[in-house]
Amino acid sequence: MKTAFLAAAILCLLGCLWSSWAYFAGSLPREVFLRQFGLASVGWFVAATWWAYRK
Amino acid sequence: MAGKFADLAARMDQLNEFDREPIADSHLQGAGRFAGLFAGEHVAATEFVIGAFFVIHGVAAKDLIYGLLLGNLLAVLSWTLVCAPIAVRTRLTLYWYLRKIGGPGFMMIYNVANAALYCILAGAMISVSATALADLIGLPGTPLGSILPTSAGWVAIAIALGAAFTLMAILGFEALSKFAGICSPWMFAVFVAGAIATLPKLGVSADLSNLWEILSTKVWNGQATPGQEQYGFWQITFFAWFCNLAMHIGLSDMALFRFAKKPWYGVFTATGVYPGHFLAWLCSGVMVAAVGREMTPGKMAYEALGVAGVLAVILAGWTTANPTLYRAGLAIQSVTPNWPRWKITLWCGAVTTALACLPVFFLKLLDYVALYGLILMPVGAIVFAEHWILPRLGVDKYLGETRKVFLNWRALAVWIGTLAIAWVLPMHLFYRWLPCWFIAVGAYTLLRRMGK
Repeated sequence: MKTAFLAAAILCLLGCLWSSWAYFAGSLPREVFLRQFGLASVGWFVAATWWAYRK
Repeated sequence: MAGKFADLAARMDQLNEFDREPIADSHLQGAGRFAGLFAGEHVAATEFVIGAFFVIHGVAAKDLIYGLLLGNLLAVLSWTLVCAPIAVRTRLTLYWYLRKIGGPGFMMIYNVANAALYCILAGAMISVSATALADLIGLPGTPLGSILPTSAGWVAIAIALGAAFTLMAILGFEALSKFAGICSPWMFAVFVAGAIATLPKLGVSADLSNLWEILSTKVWNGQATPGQEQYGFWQITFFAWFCNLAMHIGLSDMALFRFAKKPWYGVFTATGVYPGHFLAWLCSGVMVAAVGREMTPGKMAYEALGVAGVLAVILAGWTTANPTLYRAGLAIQSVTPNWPRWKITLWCGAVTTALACLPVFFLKLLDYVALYGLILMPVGAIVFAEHWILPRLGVDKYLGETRKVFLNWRALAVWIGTLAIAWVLPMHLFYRWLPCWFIAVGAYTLLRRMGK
């Protein structure tokens, strides 16, 4: 289970980076980019916190 | 009076009792552990300010890149060739090694100086976070030359953040440190994503064909903002080298490297400094160029990433201020008899919050970082001389331990004398530490040799 949360956290972090690249490349409007970045960030904190604090 | 000092010294030793003995072989850590340990370091609130200041100081793109590559390499070599070998040979923290050399009185002075410097640094971090909130609620930005706060709103935000950070440090430092570790990779992503998302605003095309042209004409164009000093290759090289001076040449990181199996593990600091002191600084430079070179980390991050960017600046300030407040408390604990931990942290937090109300500390961060390293550097030079040079000259080592001196006056004289020379040395502030290090090593060796 811990591994799954770690994998989810890393995917969220990659999602943050991908959304900024997609915005730079012109395939995402700014509002969508900001929403995606925000959601991926929340995902990172939830998954990484769960992973770090779970015994 | 002597009894009181002896009592304080005993109390100070008790606080550090756990680290008194050299690390046992069974507790040594391997290379992989060290690579991971440093990977998360050096991505902090200061990175938002430092990288932006390089743009404001008119560094040219090539000077910046080559300067940072060389400066960070020199920093990694300083950890590998100066700090780690002493730590691995002694297996002690700087605290205990310095106590053997300078005596408990010298340690007390070192601790108080360290605490004061930590409080100023934490105050600057709170100021950086305050810029994010101030910008979000529409307060005017702080002009570059400001010393005092420009509005009551700024003071209110700094006090509110300072109080919140202090309260969190009191309530549970260790749990929060773990959370700060979680923030670190995300903050690094914020720097990179923020810079990428800013590129279209600067006019970089999607195929990156004009990237270098834009970076060298709109970001690092070699023209300083009016009223700011022009920086070049050597200033950047020296800044990247000395920005962690207290940790490598100043030997604070002996606390980490005493666990290393081999001295060459110092090379793993590269996993922290190149992402933090190279990539993150470049990214914040791109972001500040997009807001018209305005030194407001909050605005930079908001323009790049919206509310998530503002949150990142606040979190970055907090994750840096939190351990800094803790370290300041730990250092000052040695001279505050019978004070509980929460009370010391509260006082350190109050001082730090008062300092955070003055924007000068984050607006002069580059100079402050130079002074911070310079002030603690002579202590590292004294330890270096004691460890490597005195045995070759046949001079007795460890006056504090063997002769039970309370204060090694030669060490104190070298420390103060070196700083006095640094004060009057006719060269740029960034370069002064290097000749002063040799002066401190030479002077301490000479004084000890004369007293043989």
